This record gives sequence, C-alpha cells and structure tokens, in this order.
Amino acid sequence: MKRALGDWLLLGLTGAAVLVVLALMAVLFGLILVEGVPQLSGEFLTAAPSADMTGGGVGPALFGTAMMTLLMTVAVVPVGVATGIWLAEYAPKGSRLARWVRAAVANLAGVPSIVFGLFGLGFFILFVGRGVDRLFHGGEPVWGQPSLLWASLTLAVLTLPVVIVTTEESLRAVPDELREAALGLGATRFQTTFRVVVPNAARGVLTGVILAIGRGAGEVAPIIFTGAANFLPELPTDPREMFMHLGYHVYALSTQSPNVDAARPALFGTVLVLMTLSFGLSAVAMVLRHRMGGARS
Amino acid sequence: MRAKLQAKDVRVFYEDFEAIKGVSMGFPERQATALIGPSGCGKSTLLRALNRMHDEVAGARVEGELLLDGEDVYAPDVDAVEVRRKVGMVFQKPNPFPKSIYDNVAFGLRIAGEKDGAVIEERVRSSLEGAALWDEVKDRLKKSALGLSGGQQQRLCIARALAVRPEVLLMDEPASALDPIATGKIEELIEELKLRQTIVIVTHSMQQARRVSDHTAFFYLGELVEHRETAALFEDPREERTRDYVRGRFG
Repeated sequence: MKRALGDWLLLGLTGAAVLVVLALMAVLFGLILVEGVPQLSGEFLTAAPSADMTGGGVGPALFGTAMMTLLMTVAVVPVGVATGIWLAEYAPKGSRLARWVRAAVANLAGVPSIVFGLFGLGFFILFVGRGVDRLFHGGEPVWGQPSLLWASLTLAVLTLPVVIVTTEESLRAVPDELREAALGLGATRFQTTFRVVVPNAARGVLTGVILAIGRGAGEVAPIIFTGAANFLPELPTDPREMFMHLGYHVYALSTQSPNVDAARPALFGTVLVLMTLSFGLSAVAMVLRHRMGGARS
Repeated sequence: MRAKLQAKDVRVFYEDFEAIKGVSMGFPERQATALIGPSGCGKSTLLRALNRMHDEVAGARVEGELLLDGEDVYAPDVDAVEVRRKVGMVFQKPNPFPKSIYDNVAFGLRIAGEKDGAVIEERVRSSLEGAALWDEVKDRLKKSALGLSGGQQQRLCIARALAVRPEVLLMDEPASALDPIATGKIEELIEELKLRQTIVIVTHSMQQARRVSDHTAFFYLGELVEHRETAALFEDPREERTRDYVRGRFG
C-alpha cells in the first residue's frame, strides 16, 4: 500500500512537471504563432525592412543568415570532421596530444558565446584582417573590418567542438569487430577508416553537423562585433561586406528601432522565421537519423 | 610434409606482460592445426600474431621469427597488409559489414584494387560456393548481410575471407557463437577448405579439435606444452598437463 502511494505521488509530480513544460511551450509558441503568422507573406520574406524597420520584410536578413550559415558550414565541417577522425582512429591510445586536443575542445565548448565574438574581433579582424591590409593594401581597411567572412569563421570556431565531439563519438560507436574484419582482409588503415568506419558512422556525424549548424545559425552574440549590420537593405555581394542576420534583426527591432511598438509585428514575424529555420534544421537532422537507421543493425 | 608457416621463438608482449613465451612450431601445408588450452592460455594471442593483427593494438609487441614459405613476415621490409592478404582470418563473432551479401564478399577484392565487375562477380560466386552458402543466398545477394542467421553470417565471413584467395586461413573459435547444426556445417566446411588452404583453428572444444584437425597444439599459461598429431595428442598425451586437460581435469 505504502509503495503504491509513493508511486502515485511520483506519477503526480512528474506529470505536473510535464504539464509545466507543455504549458510553457504552448504559451511561447502560441504567442509567436498568433502574432507572427499574419505577418508572413512572400513580400515579408523577400523585401528589405522599410519605414524605420516598422514595415517591409526580412529579405536581407534571411539571405545574410543563409550565406553566413553556408560559409560557416564550409569552414567547420572539414576541420571538425577531420579532427574527430584523427582523435577516434589515428591518435595513439593515451597520446598526450590527443588528451590536450580533447581538453581544449571541452573548454572551447564551455566558453560563453560573447567571448567568441571578442575573439573573432581580436583575432580575425584586428590580427588577421588588419595584418593582411598592412601587407597588401597599404593599411586601407579591406579585410580588417567586420564582414560576412569573419562572422562566419567566428561561428565556425564556436561550433567546432560540437562537430569534433559528435564525430569522435560516432566513430567510436562503430564496433571494433568491423575494423578487424576489414584489416583482416588486407585493408589499409586508411581503407578501413574511409570504407568501413566512416560510412557506418555517417548518420551520427551528419546529425552532429546539422546540430552545429542549427546552433550557429541562431547565435547572435558572436556576430555583433564581427559582421552583423543593423540595417543594410542591399544584399552583400562579397564576403568582405557586412550583412543582416535574423537573430540580430530581432535584437535590432526590439531595441534599436525608433518606434519599438510600431515594429512589434515585424518583430514577431522575424522571430517566427528564425524559429521555423532552426526547427527545420532539427527536423532534417531527425529525418536523416531515421532514414539512415536502416543501414545499421 | 612442408610447413607453410613456421614460428621460431615467437613471443608476444602486452606492455610488460609476456602472453606468449617463446613458441616454436610448424603449421603443415594444407592441413588443419588446432590450438587448444584453457582460457587465457594465449592461443588466440598466438593466432593473431600469425597475420600481424597485433600491429593494430597499442602496447602489443611481437618478437621472434614467423616464416611464411620461408620468409619472415615480421621482417622490417614486409607490409602487414600484404601478409593479411595471404593469411586471412575468421573471427569468433560473425562480423559481416552492414552491407549487402554481395558487397561483403567483394570487399577484399575491391580494396585490393580489382575493378573488373565480371571478375568480382565470378569470385563472389566461387567464394560463396566454397563457403557452402551459395545455394542459400543466390537469390538475395543484394540484400543486407545482417538479415542472415548467425551460422550463415559466419559462413559469409568465411566466404569473404576466401574471396581474396588466402593461402592460410586463421579461425578464432569460429563456431563458439553458433548452434550445433551451424557448428556442424562449419566443421564440414573446414574439411573442404583443407584441400586448398592451410588452416589454423583456435577452439575451446576438444571434440571439435579432434574432429577437424590433423595436428593439435596444447597451450598453457603462454607456453606450448605439447604439439603432435591430433589422435596421438588426445589418446596418448606425453605431458601431464596435457593429460589433465584433455581428460577434463581443468580448463
């Protein structure tokens, strides 16, 4: 009897916790959907903001977010996946270098994102960019200023730990029996890694990459100093130009607009687009995970 | 009777632990040699030394000479990958790749650089026939190997090893994860394979060693205790430790 009572109590408490979570989500999404959906239209998605950001749309911000995400992905995937492969397949067991790399990755993952923004400003823009300008452009600011390129690279550094860690974990999850089978058939280490281990871990690696992209796409703090613009109706045509970004646009609309109340509908519309994008990426990750599930087990 | 493989004072170390203590023995060509002994006696360790699988394990080290047709496979200029193409291996647990049956068998040829589809197809078929699996799988070659039963998977692994035409086939307790009927099929298969390959089989089943092998080597605590023709070793063991083991007093 006593035990049954405890069970009921636990059921009640956990149930209540679930209800709280569901209620919070319903309120949050409900508000965004109710206020945001009426704003959505082809024009909202393509037009530049106008009338002191109270009208128009999010076209340049959508474009800028997409470009930034693309550049970031191109930068982070090769470096992150290659590091993960090295850690899982090539680093000797107990290797001191591998230990340092893992510690560095773990620490990198714990750094607040605004610090990445400062790092991007200090390293990419002031050190690398200004350095290039001094050497090749007589000190004219060509590379040494906030831009799409530097913001993307800053985010690539931010998302690097996720890609490295998930790649290493996915590769480690591939059973050693498969490595031995390949080696026993006369496969080289390289063939074993790329024909057996990586294909079997592809699902996990891809999931990690998409999660990283999802995280990077929505981050605002790292790009404040490194490339995001308040208002820039023209689309960037060169990675050295600044760009608008959906997340940053939310910040701009809610704090920088001359008339915050008038900008409220545009704000909700922007939030809805941003959230749809990041849910979309998560959904893609889930579908991929599911689809490729047939390949193993 | 020529020794296909000849071990000369082979020692295997894991860090400082000497798991195989100076083993010298020959493996006669086109015969089956069984390695028996209690768990932890080093029989699997020795087996894995025969195709340089210890190269892949951090902290493992092999000393001594291992002659394959008179050439030391541990000589500095010998590539472990080449050794493994000549000395194939079948593992304790069936370990097919999560690919189709066809791709599993073709794997060894493809990594060796074979591009001719007709050659691969012919070899896949002859290897599956050689592993007594062809009739069971010929209609589903493109299906996943993971859909096969455990016994079929193990025969697939044998076919996969045969496809690269090894001269020696190492088998590490190949039937220990299988039921008696599947085990019987593997044992019949070993009889067939002996016509062309030199077989070295690790087994914990003394009945199995008696049924399939021509020679048996008994190991205890990393040492080779006795190595003779199978019937002689089981019926008239010279060493007391062998006698105790084959009569079931320990192990």
